[in-house]
Amino acid sequence: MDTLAKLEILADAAKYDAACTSSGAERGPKKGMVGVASNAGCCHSFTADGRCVTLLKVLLSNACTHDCAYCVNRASNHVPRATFEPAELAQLTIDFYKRNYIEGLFLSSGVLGSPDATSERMIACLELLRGPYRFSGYVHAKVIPGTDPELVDRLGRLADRLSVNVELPSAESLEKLCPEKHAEDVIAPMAQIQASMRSGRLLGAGAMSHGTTSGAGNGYSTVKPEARVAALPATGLARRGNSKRGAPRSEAFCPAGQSTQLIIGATPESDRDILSLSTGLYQRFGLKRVFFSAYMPIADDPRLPHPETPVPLRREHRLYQADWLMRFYGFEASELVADDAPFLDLDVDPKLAWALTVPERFPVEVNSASKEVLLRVPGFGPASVRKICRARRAHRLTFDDLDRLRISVKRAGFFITCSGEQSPRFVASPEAIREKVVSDAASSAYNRAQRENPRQLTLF
Amino acid sequence: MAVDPTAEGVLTATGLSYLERCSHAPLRFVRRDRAQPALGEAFFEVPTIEGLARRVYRGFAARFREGCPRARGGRCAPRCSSSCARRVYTIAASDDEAMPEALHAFLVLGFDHGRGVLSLAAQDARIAQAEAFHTLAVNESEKARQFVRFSELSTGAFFSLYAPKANVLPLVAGHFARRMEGERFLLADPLHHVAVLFSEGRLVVGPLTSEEVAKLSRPHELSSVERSVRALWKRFYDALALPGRGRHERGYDLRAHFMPKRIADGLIELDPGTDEGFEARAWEDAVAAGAHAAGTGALADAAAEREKGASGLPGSALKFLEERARG
Repeated sequence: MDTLAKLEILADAAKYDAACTSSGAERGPKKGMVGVASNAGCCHSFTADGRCVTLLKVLLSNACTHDCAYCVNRASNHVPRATFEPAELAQLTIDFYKRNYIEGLFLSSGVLGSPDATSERMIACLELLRGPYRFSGYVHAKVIPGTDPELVDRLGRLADRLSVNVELPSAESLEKLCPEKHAEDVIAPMAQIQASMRSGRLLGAGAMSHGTTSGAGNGYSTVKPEARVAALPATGLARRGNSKRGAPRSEAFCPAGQSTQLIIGATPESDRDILSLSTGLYQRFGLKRVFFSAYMPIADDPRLPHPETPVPLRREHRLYQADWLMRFYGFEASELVADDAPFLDLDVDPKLAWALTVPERFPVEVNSASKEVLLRVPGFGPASVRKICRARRAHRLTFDDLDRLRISVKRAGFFITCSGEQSPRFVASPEAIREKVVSDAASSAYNRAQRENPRQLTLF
Repeated sequence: MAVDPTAEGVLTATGLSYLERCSHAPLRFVRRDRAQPALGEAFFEVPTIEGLARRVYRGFAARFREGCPRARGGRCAPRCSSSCARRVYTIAASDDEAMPEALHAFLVLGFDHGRGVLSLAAQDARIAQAEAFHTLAVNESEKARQFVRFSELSTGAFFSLYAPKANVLPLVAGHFARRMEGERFLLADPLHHVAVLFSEGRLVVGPLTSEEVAKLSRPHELSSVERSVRALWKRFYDALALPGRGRHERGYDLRAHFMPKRIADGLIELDPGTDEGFEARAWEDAVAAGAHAAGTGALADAAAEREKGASGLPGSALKFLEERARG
């Protein structure tokens, strides 16, 4: 099988993983190495369905001994199987990177025999790429649940970001659909990754850069993990004492942090369960992102939704919006979903839905409201709030000023006043606002398409 | 005042008008190539003076730092590294006719108010326009970082033609130089007649003549593996699309939103012909050669060799750029 055929199989097998970010690590150019990493990341293309392509996202192999019901690569599924040679994958990564097709590599794999054996192969591949192939760009590696902690440590010192997929929103669902996986196998590596990152930071072990220590002369450590752990307190502190910046640029463990992914719509958990889980993961393991992947029916299995069930795109979108509100706008999960309404409103976005439940907080005066309050106004994002805060230092703002600043008040007009004046769009009652927003949205392309397509089946 | 439509052109004219003690209110800055004096207007053509432009910019940046909460010891914080003052260059990247006047207003009010000029967008239409030009250039820079596609030439150098909506290649040149450490590349903008050359570790940005643009626009001899890499990329790209989330299900084309047609037209992953270029033999040879070189440490030697060696960039059209690169 040639590389073209392998690439098609292994990219197709990896596409269900939602994570494709290259952000969170900053690493400048190095003599004799290819590539850098930048904090902001960069999308290099967009697929036909509109998702961004930033990394060469492939599986090392799609052969898998596990039989997870929702997975296209499960052992019982009859699909063509392929496995990359490490040199083949390294050459592909370098060639794509130099042509500005990608920012780096996203490496995952089916379980080849055992999690340890699979991880060893992934490590061999990354060592080749980081070492003799001299690649210093971004690498995201998947941790297979059940992998030995020593191997997780080695992976974390080769990759910028690690991720362990939670897969399903509850331990019961995981047990039901993935008999070989256990919740503790997912949680343990997450805790280990967080502890290693924390100890790296405490000891000043360069959070920003892969190092230049030793070994193969490739910038990546060949010191055994035990030796490294034993050496860390002394060397770390000694280096801190001698260094102006206090951060020896070596042995950075997973500088871009860790993330995870949940499948939405394959099991009966509510949005409230999902948001509570993601809040817990952010707080407990310091995750950078929780990705949500709308379930795409690929198997006729009684444990799963009917194969003709449409993909719950709108629900996935609302969950991402809610996740964003929790991370950047100061919202709590309990403000967005209540006990008596555990699912997010699919007709209006979560911020608007929240605002309609607390009419006593509105309207707010843009000239005097704090940044935090303005961020909670539906229709205002960080860019608009920044512009408002900057402009109101010079004079009191009017609706005309907002127009000049190119800030849309189509949505926000219901919730603000400018120098005491209300927008011409202002409507007092939450029901009327909701009705107006929903009727405005009814003509949107998405809603038209949904009306024309068959309705989503409800199985739970 | 008719100025070159560059940051240096406007900075020079602003400096000259200051040195001549002119009031800025009656002055109108226009692009030299589109200058059309109105009735009763006196017309001055201002040549760009690099030294004066640098001096004015330094003064402007220093004024911006005053009162900046992040500045330490009279210097900008490394985190933002004078990004406020560098708006001068992002505003100047715009092709709009009103750019010189908007930038002039930004400079004059910037000298008056320091960073406070950024708060005036709601009051002053010219500052609002300058902000709009800045936003456009920032967005176009990001698109250039995303969608420039290099091809490897038979000489081992990389080459790309990319036509952005604003003159942003000089703004993103450093980004590509950082990515391509140890390589050589030429990135040319046929619309703004600008080329970025990175060779022997040095980065040069220079103008191109129409003849040079025409020469660069012709097909070049590609490396033996280039068509195979393109085909692999296309196959990878096609394999990533997910069913059930496309245009039909969404009701709109999300890809077209992120990749407008003017960009999509130049992307090899959207060209149906790209798929046919795979030559298994050439690719396998490249993988074997790469593995061999990696095993013997020859990849590092090759990078060092390239840094020393001839550039291998396309054509004599770029002779002057290469000369400038060599200093």
